[in-house]
Amino acid sequence: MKMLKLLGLQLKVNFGLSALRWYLQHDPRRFWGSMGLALLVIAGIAPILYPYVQMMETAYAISAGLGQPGLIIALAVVLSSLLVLVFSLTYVLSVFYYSRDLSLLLSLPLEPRDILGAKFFVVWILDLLTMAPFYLPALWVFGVNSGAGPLSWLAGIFIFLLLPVVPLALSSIFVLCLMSLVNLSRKRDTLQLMGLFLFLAAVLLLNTYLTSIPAGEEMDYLEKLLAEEQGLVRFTARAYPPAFFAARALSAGGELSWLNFFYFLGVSAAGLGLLLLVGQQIFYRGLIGGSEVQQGRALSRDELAGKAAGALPPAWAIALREIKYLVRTPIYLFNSLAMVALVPIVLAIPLFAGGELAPLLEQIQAVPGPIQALGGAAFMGLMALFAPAASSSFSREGRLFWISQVIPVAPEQQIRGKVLYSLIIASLSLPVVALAAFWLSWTISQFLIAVIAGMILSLPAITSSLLIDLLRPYLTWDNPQKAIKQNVNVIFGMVAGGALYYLLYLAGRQAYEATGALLPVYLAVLGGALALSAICYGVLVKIAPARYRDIVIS
Amino acid sequence: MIEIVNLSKSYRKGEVKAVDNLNLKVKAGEIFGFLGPNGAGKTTTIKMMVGLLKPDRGSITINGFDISRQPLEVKKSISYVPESPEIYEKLTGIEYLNFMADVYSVPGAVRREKIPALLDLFSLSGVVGDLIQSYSHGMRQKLILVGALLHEPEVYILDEPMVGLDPRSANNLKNYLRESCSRGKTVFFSTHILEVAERLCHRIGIIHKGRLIACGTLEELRELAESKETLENIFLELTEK
Repeated sequence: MKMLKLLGLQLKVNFGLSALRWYLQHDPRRFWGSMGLALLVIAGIAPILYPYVQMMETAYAISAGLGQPGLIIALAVVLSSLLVLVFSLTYVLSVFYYSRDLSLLLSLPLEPRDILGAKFFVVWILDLLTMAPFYLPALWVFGVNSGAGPLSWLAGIFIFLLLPVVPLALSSIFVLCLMSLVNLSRKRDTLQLMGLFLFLAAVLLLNTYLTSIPAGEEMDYLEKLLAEEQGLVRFTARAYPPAFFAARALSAGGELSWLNFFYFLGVSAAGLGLLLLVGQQIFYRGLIGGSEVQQGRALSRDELAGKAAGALPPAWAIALREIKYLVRTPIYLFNSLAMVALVPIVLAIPLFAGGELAPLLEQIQAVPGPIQALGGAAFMGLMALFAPAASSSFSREGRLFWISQVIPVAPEQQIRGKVLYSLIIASLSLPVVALAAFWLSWTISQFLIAVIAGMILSLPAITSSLLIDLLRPYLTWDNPQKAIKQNVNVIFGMVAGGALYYLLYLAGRQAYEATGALLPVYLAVLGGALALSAICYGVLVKIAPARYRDIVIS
Repeated sequence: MIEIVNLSKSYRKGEVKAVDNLNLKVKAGEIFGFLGPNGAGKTTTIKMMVGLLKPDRGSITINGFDISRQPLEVKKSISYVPESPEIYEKLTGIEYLNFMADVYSVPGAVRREKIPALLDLFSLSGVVGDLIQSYSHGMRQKLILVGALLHEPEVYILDEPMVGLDPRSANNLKNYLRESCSRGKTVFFSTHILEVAERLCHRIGIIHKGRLIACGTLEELRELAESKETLENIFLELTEK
């Protein structure tokens, strides 16, 4: 009962329901602004979803032809569940352990499972939003093409609502165990980060192991999957068995559908029950005392004088502040680095596991060197686009933005500091480019060209993302995860940056088609990147004084 | 040194007047106490003075610079301490102070001399190497004060600076401010601790429902009220109306 009351409060706080109601009554412009923004996010995602829906249509046509129409449901469930498993880690960590209301909640007569359950539900809803773009198009394609009846549609929706439970419970249990182990350690933040990356690596490796096909037996294996009843669905669901129940619940028909539906329901209930059981035992162990930091050794006079000696230009001081904050906040660091670490791992694992690396390397080596270097540069640009370092830069300051507003450093200089910091974060993809240079036997000059071009190509994503975040920074978050994951600026930044990169791609292609030479391609792409960055930076600098003056943290 | 002319700020399309046509002058070398009940408009006024809020009407001139037209010059001339000590928890104390010294362009030699002295003054030397997240509320308040005093501004603007300070630190702060004023610096601070205002301030302003209802020396305020004994009695009488 207390859990339900707390849940109501959590929903009001986390989704701003009370605030929205207040705005509707007292400040309708702000209310409709928020609604418009939500619609804008959906509109921004829609074009990306179109090819996904097309792909699902094709997959459905093929799998239905093979008598396995549930395949696309299994695929969507596996894909969205893996995403939730991996990306809800920091959600969970943040909501369970870093919410500002925890110090109040801990002092109330509540059971650990009450707090945990209420907070779990909040993440559950947030994850529904993450899963919706992956699962709902698949359900739509399946339902429309299979002529599903009302009950099937209802079952499909019900499965959707339950989808996050198991992966979320698994990542929550991992986080609970991790925090109960590292909570009182002096190296708590570092150990947290290591734990998160280890979990990520373990999930990816397990997934690769479960879905690998024995080398050299690909054709036989495929034939077997096609011949076996629901073989493809079973194979897809190996990475996440409840996906099989979901797929069969919608596609088997009759009693078998009901049976699989109840299996899915049972697995979800078991996941939730296990989480509450484990949480009741160890949630407080990872929470109490966690905000306390053991004091270190006092600095001697000489040490203090030494540390107080350096004097930095303001832009560098801003960049250094941003870097220190990022490095010392595991949630920020994980979110900023996960993509940089994840993308190459995701690409590399199947290559190594499937023995496909050598032929791929040969194919790439056949491409002219300057194009290879441009590819490396494009990779760096894309990593800058995916890392939310710039698109949440102002938002991450949160309620501390007052400091940036009152210090006597011109907004232009502060922005220069943020561009500098974002470039340093973008350069973290350098090791991957260096690895590619080693595999592909690049010359030093090729490598240098890739790196310099990569830094230039990072600029459009950085400047456009900073611009978007400055226009409407999200400063009133109550746990650090919200500054990144519940910040629409991150999505807008990726969409806008993606559009700029598409323009650069078109410019490069035009240049190649017109001249057939590579130098004009470089000039078009890099010149275009610099021009677009200069435009974004110019607008940023133009609006910054007014924004720094007018932003009110309320 | 500080001149506020016809300053107004309202919310909800003018329904709520937070600051209503405020006029105020504070001279160089003066300690000015800004008093008022909760929600009277003290913090709103201070936020407009430091550039955190944009006035609807009126002007604020500090050290000869207009906050609307010359915000950077004003910011270079002032130190601001907010009412709640929210600072970078993931920095160490010394990193925060170095950051403040960098942005106020305090030379290395000056900071080597001033940082240890100010840390001693507020008993923070032993913890300055630790992350701010390990600091208590009072320690954070003291660190913000140290950061604000580092660059020796012309004007100190302090919003409830004594809240959370232990008696020794509060006393040290008062002495520091008195000594600064004797060197021609100006202090503008809000407080609820009437005793502090009574003992420290050269002049006091009382704001109520956004309007300055009284301003002057303690003697001048006594003339305005029937009960003339303590500042507390004067305050209660004036803000009851």
